[in-house]
Amino acid sequence: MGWKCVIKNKMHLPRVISRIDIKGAKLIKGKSFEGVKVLGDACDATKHAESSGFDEIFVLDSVASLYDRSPAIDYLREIVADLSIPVCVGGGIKNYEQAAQLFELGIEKICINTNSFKNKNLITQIANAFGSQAIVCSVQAMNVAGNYFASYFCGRDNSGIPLLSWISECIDRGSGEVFLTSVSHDGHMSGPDMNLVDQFNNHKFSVPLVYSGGVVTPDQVKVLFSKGFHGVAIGHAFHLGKFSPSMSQRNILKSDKAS
Amino acid sequence: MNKRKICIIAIPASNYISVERFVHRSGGIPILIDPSGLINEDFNDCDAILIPGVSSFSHTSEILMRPEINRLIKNYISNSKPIIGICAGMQVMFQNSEESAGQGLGIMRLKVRKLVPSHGLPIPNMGWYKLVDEKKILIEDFGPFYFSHSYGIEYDDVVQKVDWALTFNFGNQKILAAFRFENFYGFQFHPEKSSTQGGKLLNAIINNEL
Repeated sequence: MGWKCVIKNKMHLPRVISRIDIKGAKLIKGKSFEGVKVLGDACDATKHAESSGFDEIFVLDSVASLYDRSPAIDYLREIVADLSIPVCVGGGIKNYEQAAQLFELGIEKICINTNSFKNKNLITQIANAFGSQAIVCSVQAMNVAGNYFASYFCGRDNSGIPLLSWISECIDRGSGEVFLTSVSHDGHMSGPDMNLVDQFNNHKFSVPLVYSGGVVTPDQVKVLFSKGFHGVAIGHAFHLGKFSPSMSQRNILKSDKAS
Repeated sequence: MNKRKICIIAIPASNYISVERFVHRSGGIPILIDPSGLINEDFNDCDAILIPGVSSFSHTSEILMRPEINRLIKNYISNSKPIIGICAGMQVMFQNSEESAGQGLGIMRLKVRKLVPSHGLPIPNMGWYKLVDEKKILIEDFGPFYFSHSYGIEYDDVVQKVDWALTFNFGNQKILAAFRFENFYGFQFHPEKSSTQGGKLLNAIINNEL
Protein backbone atom coordinates (compact mmCIF):
# COMPACT_ATOMS: atom_id res chain seq x y z
CA MET A 1 0.00 0.00 0.00
CA GLY A 2 1.42 3.38 -1.01
CA TRP A 3 1.94 6.18 1.43
CA LYS A 4 -0.47 8.66 -0.15
CA CYS A 5 -3.25 6.12 -0.38
CA VAL A 6 -2.94 5.56 3.33
CA ILE A 7 -3.22 9.27 4.00
CA LYS A 8 -6.30 9.56 1.83
CA ASN A 9 -8.04 6.84 3.78
CA LYS A 10 -6.77 8.37 7.01
CA MET A 11 -6.14 4.92 8.38
CA HIS A 12 -2.74 5.51 9.74
CA LEU A 13 0.09 7.96 9.29
CA PRO A 14 3.71 7.36 10.25
CA ARG A 15 4.89 8.74 13.55
CA VAL A 16 7.95 10.89 13.01
CA ILE A 17 10.12 10.83 16.11
CA SER A 18 12.97 13.12 17.08
CA ARG A 19 15.86 11.16 18.47
CA ILE A 20 17.99 13.12 20.92
CA ASP A 21 21.17 11.39 22.11
CA ILE A 22 22.46 12.94 25.30
CA LYS A 23 25.38 12.89 27.65
CA GLY A 24 24.60 14.83 30.80
CA ALA A 25 22.95 18.07 29.66
CA LYS A 26 24.53 17.95 26.18
CA LEU A 27 23.14 16.90 22.83
CA ILE A 28 25.60 14.47 21.28
CA LYS A 29 25.84 12.35 18.17
CA GLY A 30 28.24 9.68 17.00
CA LYS A 31 28.50 7.46 13.98
CA SER A 32 27.56 3.86 14.66
CA PHE A 33 27.64 4.90 18.36
CA GLU A 34 31.37 5.77 18.08
CA GLY A 35 33.30 9.05 17.96
CA VAL A 36 30.66 10.96 19.89
CA LYS A 37 30.62 14.76 19.37
CA VAL A 38 28.82 17.44 21.35
CA LEU A 39 26.36 19.24 19.05
CA GLY A 40 24.64 21.53 21.54
CA ASP A 41 22.37 21.72 24.55
CA ALA A 42 19.88 18.88 25.09
CA CYS A 43 17.11 21.15 26.49
CA ASP A 44 17.28 23.41 23.44
CA ALA A 45 17.14 20.33 21.21
CA THR A 46 13.97 18.90 22.80
CA LYS A 47 12.21 22.30 22.71
CA HIS A 48 13.18 22.73 19.06
CA ALA A 49 11.87 19.26 18.20
CA GLU A 50 8.59 19.97 20.01
CA SER A 51 7.98 23.25 18.20
CA SER A 52 8.94 21.79 14.80
CA GLY A 53 5.98 19.42 14.93
CA PHE A 54 7.59 16.04 15.66
CA ASP A 55 5.10 13.47 16.96
CA GLU A 56 7.28 12.24 19.80
CA ILE A 57 10.67 12.77 21.37
CA PHE A 58 13.04 9.92 22.13
CA VAL A 59 15.80 10.86 24.55
CA LEU A 60 18.61 8.34 24.71
CA ASP A 61 21.60 8.36 27.02
CA SER A 62 23.24 6.00 24.59
CA VAL A 63 26.49 5.44 26.45
CA ALA A 64 25.06 4.96 29.97
CA SER A 65 25.14 1.17 29.85
CA LEU A 66 28.59 1.13 28.30
CA TYR A 67 29.97 3.07 31.28
CA ASP A 68 27.69 1.20 33.70
CA ARG A 69 25.98 4.46 34.66
CA SER A 70 22.42 4.79 35.94
CA PRO A 71 20.01 7.16 34.17
CA ALA A 72 21.01 10.78 34.90
CA ILE A 73 17.72 11.71 36.57
CA ASP A 74 18.64 15.31 37.41
CA TYR A 75 19.68 16.16 33.86
CA LEU A 76 16.71 14.29 32.43
CA ARG A 77 14.32 16.23 34.65
CA GLU A 78 15.55 19.46 33.04
CA ILE A 79 15.52 18.01 29.54
CA VAL A 80 12.00 16.55 29.56
CA ALA A 81 10.31 18.97 31.99
CA ASP A 82 7.23 20.59 30.56
CA LEU A 83 7.30 19.06 27.10
CA SER A 84 3.73 18.96 25.80
CA ILE A 85 4.24 16.00 23.46
CA PRO A 86 5.04 12.35 24.31
CA VAL A 87 8.51 11.47 25.52
CA CYS A 88 10.39 8.17 25.71
CA VAL A 89 13.62 7.94 27.72
CA GLY A 90 16.25 5.22 27.46
CA GLY A 91 19.80 4.39 28.48
CA GLY A 92 21.20 2.50 31.45
CA ILE A 93 17.88 1.47 33.02
CA LYS A 94 18.75 -1.55 35.16
CA ASN A 95 15.78 -2.21 37.39
CA TYR A 96 12.18 -1.52 38.25
CA GLU A 97 13.06 1.22 40.75
CA GLN A 98 14.95 3.25 38.14
CA ALA A 99 12.07 2.83 35.71
CA ALA A 100 9.61 4.08 38.34
CA GLN A 101 11.86 7.08 39.06
CA LEU A 102 11.86 7.98 35.36
CA PHE A 103 8.07 7.75 35.11
CA GLU A 104 7.94 10.16 38.05
CA LEU A 105 9.44 12.77 35.68
CA GLY A 106 6.16 12.68 33.76
CA ILE A 107 7.33 10.75 30.70
CA GLU A 108 5.20 8.26 28.74
CA LYS A 109 7.62 5.48 27.90
CA ILE A 110 10.97 4.07 28.83
CA CYS A 111 13.28 2.14 26.58
CA ILE A 112 15.55 -0.78 27.47
CA ASN A 113 18.20 -2.67 25.53
CA THR A 114 21.34 -3.85 27.29
CA ASN A 115 19.70 -4.76 30.59
CA SER A 116 16.95 -6.80 28.95
CA PHE A 117 19.70 -9.28 28.00
CA LYS A 118 21.00 -9.37 31.56
CA ASN A 119 17.70 -9.42 33.44
CA LYS A 120 15.12 -11.63 31.76
CA ASN A 121 12.21 -10.40 33.90
CA LEU A 122 12.78 -6.66 33.62
CA ILE A 123 10.50 -5.98 30.64
CA THR A 124 7.66 -8.09 32.05
CA GLN A 125 7.95 -6.49 35.46
CA ILE A 126 7.74 -2.96 34.02
CA ALA A 127 4.94 -3.90 31.60
CA ASN A 128 2.87 -5.34 34.43
CA ALA A 129 3.23 -2.20 36.53
CA PHE A 130 2.97 0.53 33.88
CA GLY A 131 1.29 -1.19 30.94
CA SER A 132 2.94 -2.50 27.77
CA GLN A 133 2.45 0.85 26.00
CA ALA A 134 5.00 2.27 28.45
CA ILE A 135 7.86 -0.12 27.69
CA VAL A 136 9.84 0.07 24.47
CA CYS A 137 12.56 -2.38 23.52
CA SER A 138 15.50 -0.82 21.81
CA VAL A 139 16.94 -3.34 19.39
CA GLN A 140 20.36 -2.60 17.89
CA ALA A 141 20.68 -4.56 14.68
CA MET A 142 24.20 -5.72 13.81
CA ASN A 143 25.05 -7.05 10.37
CA VAL A 144 27.43 -10.02 10.50
CA ALA A 145 28.19 -11.30 7.00
CA GLY A 146 24.67 -10.57 5.80
CA ASN A 147 22.88 -11.96 8.86
CA TYR A 148 21.38 -9.66 11.45
CA PHE A 149 21.75 -10.13 15.19
CA ALA A 150 20.66 -8.19 18.25
CA SER A 151 23.56 -6.35 19.88
CA TYR A 152 24.04 -4.35 23.08
CA PHE A 153 26.52 -2.05 24.82
CA CYS A 154 26.14 0.62 22.15
CA GLY A 155 26.16 -1.85 19.32
CA ARG A 156 29.53 -3.28 20.39
CA ASP A 157 28.61 -6.72 21.69
CA ASN A 158 26.77 -9.25 19.57
CA SER A 159 24.30 -11.30 21.63
CA GLY A 160 24.37 -14.01 18.97
CA ILE A 161 20.55 -13.99 18.99
CA PRO A 162 19.04 -13.62 15.49
CA LEU A 163 17.33 -10.24 15.20
CA LEU A 164 13.78 -11.37 14.42
CA SER A 165 13.66 -14.00 17.16
CA TRP A 166 14.93 -11.44 19.69
CA ILE A 167 12.17 -9.00 18.64
CA SER A 168 9.54 -11.73 19.06
CA GLU A 169 10.91 -12.50 22.50
CA CYS A 170 10.78 -8.83 23.55
CA ILE A 171 7.13 -8.67 22.48
CA ASP A 172 6.33 -11.92 24.30
CA ARG A 173 7.85 -10.47 27.44
CA GLY A 174 5.42 -7.54 27.29
CA SER A 175 7.12 -4.81 25.28
CA GLY A 176 4.56 -2.57 23.52
CA GLU A 177 6.91 -1.12 20.92
CA VAL A 178 10.17 -1.97 19.20
CA PHE A 179 12.71 0.75 18.45
CA LEU A 180 15.06 -0.68 15.83
CA THR A 181 18.44 0.91 15.13
CA SER A 182 20.83 -0.08 12.37
CA VAL A 183 24.23 0.02 14.07
CA SER A 184 26.09 0.37 10.77
CA HIS A 185 23.90 3.27 9.55
CA ASP A 186 23.34 5.14 12.82
CA GLY A 187 24.52 8.76 12.53
CA HIS A 188 25.90 8.38 8.99
CA MET A 189 23.08 10.27 7.21
CA SER A 190 23.54 7.96 4.22
CA GLY A 191 19.92 6.78 3.99
CA PRO A 192 18.26 3.86 5.76
CA ASP A 193 19.76 0.38 5.90
CA MET A 194 17.63 -1.23 3.21
CA ASN A 195 19.16 -4.67 3.77
CA LEU A 196 17.92 -4.48 7.32
CA VAL A 197 14.53 -3.15 6.22
CA ASP A 198 14.16 -6.12 3.87
CA GLN A 199 14.53 -8.54 6.78
CA PHE A 200 11.01 -7.44 7.74
CA ASN A 201 9.40 -8.07 4.34
CA ASN A 202 7.58 -11.21 5.43
CA HIS A 203 7.27 -10.49 9.12
CA LYS A 204 4.42 -8.66 10.74
CA PHE A 205 4.70 -7.97 14.42
CA SER A 206 1.71 -7.23 16.63
CA VAL A 207 3.20 -4.06 18.17
CA PRO A 208 4.45 -0.84 16.54
CA LEU A 209 7.90 -0.95 14.97
CA VAL A 210 10.07 2.18 14.75
CA TYR A 211 13.10 2.48 12.43
CA SER A 212 16.18 4.51 13.27
CA GLY A 213 19.51 4.94 11.49
CA GLY A 214 20.64 7.06 8.54
CA VAL A 215 17.33 8.68 7.59
CA VAL A 216 17.71 12.15 6.02
CA THR A 217 14.84 12.86 3.61
CA PRO A 218 11.02 12.79 3.72
CA ASP A 219 11.09 10.34 0.81
CA GLN A 220 13.10 7.89 2.91
CA VAL A 221 10.48 8.21 5.66
CA LYS A 222 7.77 7.38 3.12
CA VAL A 223 9.68 4.34 1.87
CA LEU A 224 10.04 3.02 5.41
CA PHE A 225 6.38 3.58 6.08
CA SER A 226 5.36 1.76 2.91
CA LYS A 227 7.60 -1.12 4.06
CA GLY A 228 5.47 -1.51 7.17
CA PHE A 229 7.29 0.54 9.80
CA HIS A 230 4.93 2.52 12.03
CA GLY A 231 7.38 5.17 13.05
CA VAL A 232 10.68 6.63 11.88
CA ALA A 233 13.23 8.35 14.09
CA ILE A 234 15.40 11.22 12.88
CA GLY A 235 18.54 12.21 14.76
CA HIS A 236 21.57 13.79 13.17
CA ALA A 237 19.77 15.12 10.05
CA PHE A 238 17.40 17.24 12.15
CA HIS A 239 20.15 18.53 14.45
CA LEU A 240 22.08 19.71 11.40
CA GLY A 241 19.02 21.41 9.90
CA LYS A 242 18.77 19.00 6.95
CA PHE A 243 15.37 17.56 7.91
CA SER A 244 12.03 19.10 8.74
CA PRO A 245 9.21 16.82 9.99
CA SER A 246 6.64 18.11 7.50
CA MET A 247 5.02 14.66 7.20
CA SER A 248 4.63 14.02 10.91
CA GLN A 249 1.10 13.09 11.99
CA ARG A 250 0.83 16.36 13.88
CA ASN A 251 1.87 18.53 10.97
CA ILE A 252 -0.28 16.74 8.40
CA LEU A 253 -3.41 16.56 10.55
CA LYS A 254 -3.07 20.18 11.63
CA SER A 255 -2.97 21.39 8.05
CA ASP A 256 -5.79 19.06 7.01
CA LYS A 257 -8.70 21.36 7.87
CA ALA A 258 -11.24 19.39 5.88
CA SER A 259 -11.35 16.35 8.16
CA MET B 1 -11.33 35.51 35.80
CA ASN B 2 -10.10 33.74 38.92
CA LYS B 3 -7.76 30.88 38.30
CA ARG B 4 -9.57 27.57 38.43
CA LYS B 5 -8.44 24.96 40.93
CA ILE B 6 -8.34 21.38 39.72
CA CYS B 7 -7.61 18.56 42.12
CA ILE B 8 -5.72 15.64 40.64
CA ILE B 9 -5.75 12.20 42.25
CA ALA B 10 -2.05 11.33 42.36
CA ILE B 11 -2.46 7.67 41.42
CA PRO B 12 0.94 5.98 41.80
CA ALA B 13 2.51 4.79 38.52
CA SER B 14 0.19 7.09 36.54
CA ASN B 15 0.85 10.22 34.49
CA TYR B 16 -0.24 12.58 37.29
CA ILE B 17 3.00 14.58 37.14
CA SER B 18 2.59 15.49 33.49
CA VAL B 19 -1.10 16.17 34.16
CA GLU B 20 -0.12 18.51 37.00
CA ARG B 21 2.23 20.40 34.67
CA PHE B 22 -0.46 20.44 32.00
CA VAL B 23 -3.03 22.06 34.32
CA HIS B 24 -0.44 24.63 35.33
CA ARG B 25 0.53 25.32 31.71
CA SER B 26 -3.14 25.73 30.79
CA GLY B 27 -3.60 28.45 33.38
CA GLY B 28 -5.22 26.45 36.19
CA ILE B 29 -4.04 25.69 39.72
CA PRO B 30 -3.31 21.96 40.15
CA ILE B 31 -3.86 20.48 43.61
CA LEU B 32 -2.43 17.00 44.07
CA ILE B 33 -4.25 14.51 46.27
CA ASP B 34 -2.11 11.73 47.71
CA PRO B 35 -4.55 8.79 47.86
CA SER B 36 -2.60 7.32 50.78
CA GLY B 37 -2.51 10.60 52.66
CA LEU B 38 -5.07 12.60 54.57
CA ILE B 39 -8.08 13.56 52.44
CA ASN B 40 -9.07 16.87 53.98
CA GLU B 41 -12.04 19.16 53.44
CA ASP B 42 -10.10 21.56 51.21
CA PHE B 43 -10.18 19.06 48.39
CA ASN B 44 -13.94 19.59 48.12
CA ASP B 45 -13.43 23.23 47.17
CA CYS B 46 -11.78 22.76 43.78
CA ASP B 47 -13.60 23.55 40.54
CA ALA B 48 -13.08 20.06 39.13
CA ILE B 49 -11.56 16.69 40.00
CA LEU B 50 -9.28 14.86 37.60
CA ILE B 51 -8.53 11.12 37.41
CA PRO B 52 -5.28 10.56 35.51
CA GLY B 53 -4.52 7.44 33.51
CA VAL B 54 -1.78 5.27 32.01
CA SER B 55 -1.70 2.53 34.63
CA SER B 56 -4.05 -0.47 34.61
CA PHE B 57 -7.81 -0.55 35.17
CA SER B 58 -7.58 -2.63 38.34
CA HIS B 59 -4.93 -0.35 39.86
CA THR B 60 -6.97 2.79 39.08
CA SER B 61 -10.15 1.12 40.34
CA GLU B 62 -8.50 0.08 43.61
CA ILE B 63 -7.57 3.71 44.31
CA LEU B 64 -11.00 5.11 43.41
CA MET B 65 -12.81 2.54 45.56
CA ARG B 66 -10.95 3.61 48.70
CA PRO B 67 -13.72 5.02 50.91
CA GLU B 68 -12.27 8.52 51.30
CA ILE B 69 -11.50 8.95 47.60
CA ASN B 70 -14.89 7.51 46.67
CA ARG B 71 -16.63 9.95 49.01
CA LEU B 72 -14.66 12.83 47.49
CA ILE B 73 -15.73 11.87 43.95
CA LYS B 74 -19.37 11.56 45.09
CA ASN B 75 -19.11 15.06 46.47
CA TYR B 76 -18.14 16.38 43.04
CA ILE B 77 -20.98 14.41 41.48
CA SER B 78 -23.58 15.87 43.83
CA ASN B 79 -22.21 19.40 43.41
CA SER B 80 -22.36 19.07 39.60
CA LYS B 81 -18.70 19.88 39.20
CA PRO B 82 -16.72 18.32 36.36
CA ILE B 83 -15.16 14.90 36.95
CA ILE B 84 -12.50 14.46 34.29
CA GLY B 85 -10.90 11.13 33.42
CA ILE B 86 -7.87 10.60 31.18
CA CYS B 87 -7.13 7.25 29.46
CA ALA B 88 -7.42 4.57 32.20
CA GLY B 89 -9.08 7.33 34.27
CA MET B 90 -11.77 7.53 31.57
CA GLN B 91 -12.10 3.75 31.25
CA VAL B 92 -12.66 3.41 34.99
CA MET B 93 -15.82 5.53 34.66
CA PHE B 94 -17.47 2.50 33.02
CA GLN B 95 -18.47 -0.79 34.67
CA ASN B 96 -15.44 -3.03 34.21
CA SER B 97 -12.72 -4.01 31.73
CA GLU B 98 -11.38 -6.96 29.78
CA GLU B 99 -7.91 -5.77 30.71
CA SER B 100 -7.98 -6.51 34.43
CA ALA B 101 -10.29 -7.00 37.40
CA GLY B 102 -11.96 -4.29 39.46
CA GLN B 103 -15.10 -2.22 39.54
CA GLY B 104 -15.43 1.08 37.74
CA LEU B 105 -17.61 4.03 38.70
CA GLY B 106 -20.34 2.50 36.54
CA ILE B 107 -21.78 5.60 34.85
CA MET B 108 -22.93 3.20 32.12
CA ARG B 109 -23.23 -0.57 32.27
CA LEU B 110 -20.45 -1.15 29.78
CA LYS B 111 -17.29 -3.19 29.64
CA VAL B 112 -14.06 -1.65 28.29
CA ARG B 113 -12.79 -3.97 25.55
CA LYS B 114 -9.50 -4.69 23.80
CA LEU B 115 -9.13 -2.94 20.43
CA VAL B 116 -9.69 -5.26 17.48
CA PRO B 117 -6.66 -5.43 15.19
CA SER B 118 -7.49 -4.96 11.51
CA HIS B 119 -5.90 -3.42 8.40
CA GLY B 120 -2.52 -4.43 9.88
CA LEU B 121 -2.80 -1.83 12.63
CA PRO B 122 -0.61 -2.58 15.62
CA ILE B 123 -1.76 -2.55 19.24
CA PRO B 124 -1.04 -0.59 21.44
CA ASN B 125 -2.45 2.15 19.23
CA MET B 126 -0.02 5.04 19.53
CA GLY B 127 -0.23 8.25 17.62
CA TRP B 128 -2.15 11.41 16.75
CA TYR B 129 -5.71 11.53 15.46
CA LYS B 130 -8.07 14.22 14.39
CA LEU B 131 -11.52 13.61 15.79
CA VAL B 132 -15.06 13.61 14.49
CA ASP B 133 -17.61 15.66 16.41
CA GLU B 134 -20.52 13.18 16.33
CA LYS B 135 -23.23 15.41 17.74
CA LYS B 136 -22.04 18.61 16.06
CA ILE B 137 -22.22 20.71 19.17
CA LEU B 138 -18.63 21.79 19.61
CA ILE B 139 -17.83 25.17 18.22
CA GLU B 140 -14.14 24.74 17.60
CA ASP B 141 -12.09 22.38 15.49
CA PHE B 142 -10.13 20.47 18.14
CA GLY B 143 -7.16 18.28 17.43
CA PRO B 144 -5.07 16.41 16.63
CA PHE B 145 -4.72 14.57 19.93
CA TYR B 146 -2.25 11.94 21.10
CA PHE B 147 -3.43 8.40 21.87
CA SER B 148 -1.61 5.52 23.54
CA HIS B 149 -3.93 2.65 24.44
CA SER B 150 -4.87 -0.97 23.84
CA TYR B 151 -8.45 -0.87 25.19
CA GLY B 152 -11.42 1.34 24.48
CA ILE B 153 -15.18 1.90 24.20
CA GLU B 154 -17.05 1.76 20.89
CA TYR B 155 -19.13 4.82 20.07
CA ASP B 156 -22.16 2.72 19.04
CA ASP B 157 -22.52 1.54 22.63
CA VAL B 158 -22.85 5.05 24.08
CA VAL B 159 -24.48 7.02 21.26
CA GLN B 160 -27.86 7.24 23.04
CA LYS B 161 -26.40 8.30 26.36
CA VAL B 162 -23.65 10.85 25.86
CA ASP B 163 -24.27 14.61 25.70
CA TRP B 164 -21.52 14.97 23.14
CA ALA B 165 -18.81 12.75 21.74
CA LEU B 166 -15.63 12.91 19.70
CA THR B 167 -14.57 9.73 17.87
CA PHE B 168 -11.96 8.31 15.52
CA ASN B 169 -11.75 5.20 13.38
CA PHE B 170 -9.40 2.43 14.40
CA GLY B 171 -9.62 -0.12 11.60
CA ASN B 172 -13.30 -1.09 11.45
CA GLN B 173 -14.15 0.31 14.87
CA LYS B 174 -15.43 3.75 15.73
CA ILE B 175 -13.77 4.43 19.05
CA LEU B 176 -14.93 6.88 21.67
CA ALA B 177 -12.19 9.49 22.01
CA ALA B 178 -13.94 11.97 24.31
CA PHE B 179 -17.40 12.42 25.77
CA ARG B 180 -19.58 14.18 28.26
CA PHE B 181 -22.16 12.31 30.31
CA GLU B 182 -23.84 14.55 32.89
CA ASN B 183 -20.86 16.04 34.72
CA PHE B 184 -18.45 13.27 33.70
CA TYR B 185 -15.90 14.13 31.02
CA GLY B 186 -13.76 11.32 29.62
CA PHE B 187 -10.73 11.42 27.33
CA GLN B 188 -9.26 8.28 25.81
CA PHE B 189 -6.40 10.41 24.47
CA HIS B 190 -3.83 12.35 26.44
CA PRO B 191 -4.70 16.07 26.47
CA GLU B 192 -1.59 16.66 28.58
CA LYS B 193 0.56 15.40 25.70
CA SER B 194 -1.40 16.85 22.79
CA SER B 195 0.59 20.06 22.42
CA THR B 196 -1.55 23.20 22.87
CA GLN B 197 -4.79 21.48 21.78
CA GLY B 198 -5.28 19.76 25.13
CA GLY B 199 -5.26 23.00 27.11
CA LYS B 200 -8.04 24.52 25.00
CA LEU B 201 -10.25 21.54 25.69
CA LEU B 202 -9.54 21.55 29.42
CA ASN B 203 -10.30 25.26 29.71
CA ALA B 204 -13.54 24.90 27.77
CA ILE B 205 -14.70 22.24 30.23
CA ILE B 206 -13.64 24.07 33.36
CA ASN B 207 -15.35 27.25 32.12
CA ASN B 208 -18.58 25.29 31.49
CA GLU B 209 -18.47 25.89 27.75
CA LEU B 210 -18.68 22.20 26.86
